[in-house]
Amino acid sequence: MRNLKLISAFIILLVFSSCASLIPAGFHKDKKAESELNKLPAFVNSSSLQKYDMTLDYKKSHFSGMLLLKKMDESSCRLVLTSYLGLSIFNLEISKDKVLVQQCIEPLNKKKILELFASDIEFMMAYEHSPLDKYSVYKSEESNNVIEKISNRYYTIDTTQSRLVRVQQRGFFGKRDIRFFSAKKIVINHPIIGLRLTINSLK
Amino acid sequence: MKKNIIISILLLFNVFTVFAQSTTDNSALRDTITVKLKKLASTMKTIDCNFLQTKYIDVFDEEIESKGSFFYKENKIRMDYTTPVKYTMIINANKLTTVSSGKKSVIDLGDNQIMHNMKGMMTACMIGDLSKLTSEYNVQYSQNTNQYITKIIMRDDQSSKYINSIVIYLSKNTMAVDELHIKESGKDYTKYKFYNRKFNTLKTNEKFKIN
Repeated sequence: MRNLKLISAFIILLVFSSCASLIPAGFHKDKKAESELNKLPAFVNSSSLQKYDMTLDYKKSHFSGMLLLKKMDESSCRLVLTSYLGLSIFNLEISKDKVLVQQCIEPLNKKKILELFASDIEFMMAYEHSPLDKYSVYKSEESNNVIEKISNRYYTIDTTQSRLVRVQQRGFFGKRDIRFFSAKKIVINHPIIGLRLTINSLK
Repeated sequence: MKKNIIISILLLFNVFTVFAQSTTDNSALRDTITVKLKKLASTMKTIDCNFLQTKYIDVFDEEIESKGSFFYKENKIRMDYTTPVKYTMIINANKLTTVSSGKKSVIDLGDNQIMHNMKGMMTACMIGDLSKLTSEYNVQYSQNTNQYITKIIMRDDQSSKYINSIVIYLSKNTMAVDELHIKESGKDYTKYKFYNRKFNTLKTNEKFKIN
């Protein structure tokens, strides 16, 4: 009985934390504001091949490799991860809400892992939204940042530099936090599962 | 996840294990290569060289180049990548260390069979001890004017999932590895070219220390 109470309390806590707003104090909804997000250039704005140094930290493990990304058309991109020693780790075709595994080494070929990864990349690449999407813009008198909320995603935009600085998403089982330090460095945190991806653009 | 990462890293090195494999093909050319490699092994104890690595990715029809230094001494190996990023990999005893972005990762390979295969490969490739080779791979021998060419084709299902074949180009003059071509199961491949080779210049084990 005591365990049941504890489990119930935990579930309630999870539900409340997942529903909690990520809008900081001082920000208020501006009903007339237009979307700032759609004014930003796309993260990958050309069809040329983009190369990144990617490090993955999971608890005490550390892995590093080269991430190659190319926009194939308006709705899909191709993602290849190779080790620095040369072996291809995976080759994914990502389109909206769909991940097609073209090739993946056996130990990593797990649907949940690849979907999480593809979803992170989709966050990085395709933050522009459809005119039909419902969005809310939050502003503060004390900050140059605006926060745009679409569904359960919160996009923080630095309006002085016209660039995306942060994306947060809170789901039932955890929070995703992506920080864009510049156009060249992105850090993706999954604090609940202890996974951190650092992506640096290579020349 | 940790296990997956470790296995993934090990898989990277599994590509090298094929060097340690052979077939029962006792062609005259193979005997020639074996004899020459053994002769080399008696005099060559360390290698210090540069390498150029070219990775071809079919889906992008693009070649990506990496450069660095390679060191070998008594079954210990170090690869220092300088471009496109600084990345170091050291194998010493049963420890595999990688250093990237200033972070060090040490994996205790313990009794891992892949590690033992890898050591066998390194001995076979660098020292010329072909006696440890097994019959899990199909090996073909050929030559051109300046090189002996050894092509290793995967026969077992596990290896062929990742690697289709490996071709080693040995200099006829020095019997050192000039080039190494690793063809993956798709159309991707990686080529390594070794140059500026210096033999027996590494006097200490400093380069292979794992702190």
